[in-house]
Amino acid sequence: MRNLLYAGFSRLWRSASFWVSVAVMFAVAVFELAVSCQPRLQGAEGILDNRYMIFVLMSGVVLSAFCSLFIGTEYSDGAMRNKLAVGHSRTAVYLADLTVCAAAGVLVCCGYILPMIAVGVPLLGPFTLSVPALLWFTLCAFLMTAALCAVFTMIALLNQNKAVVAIICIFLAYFLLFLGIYLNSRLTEQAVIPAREYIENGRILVREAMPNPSYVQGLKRRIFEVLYDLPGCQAVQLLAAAEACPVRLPLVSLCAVAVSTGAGLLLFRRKDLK
Amino acid sequence: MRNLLHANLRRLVRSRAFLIALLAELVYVALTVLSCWDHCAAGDQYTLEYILTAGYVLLGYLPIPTLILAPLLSLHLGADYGNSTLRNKLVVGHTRRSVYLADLLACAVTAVALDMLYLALSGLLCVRPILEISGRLLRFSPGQVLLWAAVLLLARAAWAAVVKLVVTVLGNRTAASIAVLLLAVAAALISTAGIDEVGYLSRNLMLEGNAGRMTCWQLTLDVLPTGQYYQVSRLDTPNLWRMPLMSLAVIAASTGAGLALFRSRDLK
Repeated sequence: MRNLLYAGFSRLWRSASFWVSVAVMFAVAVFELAVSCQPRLQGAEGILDNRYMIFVLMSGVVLSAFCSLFIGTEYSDGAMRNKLAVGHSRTAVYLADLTVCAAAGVLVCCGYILPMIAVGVPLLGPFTLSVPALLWFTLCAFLMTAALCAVFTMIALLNQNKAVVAIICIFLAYFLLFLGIYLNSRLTEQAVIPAREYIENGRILVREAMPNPSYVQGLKRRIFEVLYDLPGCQAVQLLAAAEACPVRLPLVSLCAVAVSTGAGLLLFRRKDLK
Repeated sequence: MRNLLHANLRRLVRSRAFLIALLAELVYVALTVLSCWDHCAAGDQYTLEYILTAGYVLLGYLPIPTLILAPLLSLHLGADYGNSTLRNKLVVGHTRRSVYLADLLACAVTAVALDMLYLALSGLLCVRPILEISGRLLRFSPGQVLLWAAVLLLARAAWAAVVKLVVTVLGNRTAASIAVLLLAVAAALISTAGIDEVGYLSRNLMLEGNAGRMTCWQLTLDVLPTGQYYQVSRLDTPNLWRMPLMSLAVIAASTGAGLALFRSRDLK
């Protein structure tokens, strides 16, 4: 296992897809910093907090491409067969790939975080969030990233077609992200539309408060809340509640890692690797 | 050229990717139609142009038809590189120019045909409930609606030309699929940001520098095919005359660049 990890990290360091992923996140950070300058000059406060958190939205899509390429290469180059042929167990191969991909996920996120802190603080002023809150948010984001990497690793190790894996992973990341945006908009609907006054034909009329027909309740709300906690969807939740991320979110991420790894290992052991 | 186009279309239509894309498109049509019926049953007064154009960008931020087409086109075009089909085409005497243009035409025709299928099916299936509830089919003139449809279809052809260029540049099925999908996602994010920015800037035009920024964002939205879908799906097209011209410019630029690259490429 140690040898596999060493070889995996060694390959990661030389991997073009890894550096492209880091570069993409770096470019996004530079773009965010550039577009933040104008509002800052106009006197806006707390810009850095909002900009810093954007990486949770991007990381899923970028890592879906990276994981599928990085692991897919093991199949196309025959490295997977070689690893098994020299006596490594399938469990060790799976766990080594998962560890390398999860670590790569955190490093790719750092490609965004480091320039944001190094340049953002002098340029846009300090964070308004407290340091513990910021660290807690970052930890939750890293765990969500690791959970997404675990899911992508499972998909990539169970399918030998690199192109198909890439398409499935990117679609999944994109789907989860936009599901999160949709669920956020549905779950933040007000239960009651407040009373309001308006003018019609010169007369002041009052519309009574009334129940909001778009408000989701009952079992449907419960299902929406469960889905909203899924890694990927969580990105929107983390962004919306950065100051006080619920403890539930990292726990759900850890559960996602455990479930996907368990299922992946089970299927990978039985897989005919040809 | 005719033989190449015919062979390309046949191969595309028979591929499993096309079947999956067609099924996905039909499922999406069904979802759109069911959503329309649901709204009509609730008494919401929609008109047909809203149903037809809103489907291009679901909920205002998800360009579903673009996402269905992206893997189909990149897998089809990328397979030529993997199976040595390109080399065979050149060996039997076809010019590189005709090979490139036949690929581009096949992709554009398929993409536009799938869009037309969406427009025709969702339009036909929503006519009756809309007429029953709203009492009228269209809020805008038929000419305006046809113009919007034409703009959408031309933007789709421009999108196909960009996909062909990306596949030609990368020359690899996997890399091309990833790049095209990420391009679609990036274009969607840029368009969402652009729509928000244009809305904000138009309300604050008097502030210094905002007029220039608004021009930049509006130009970006007009140039990007996805930006055009976003604008038409909101039935808000301040530069409608400029959008087809931009699509033609995108087609010309990407085809020119792709052809130049393809001619000088070592195909091994």
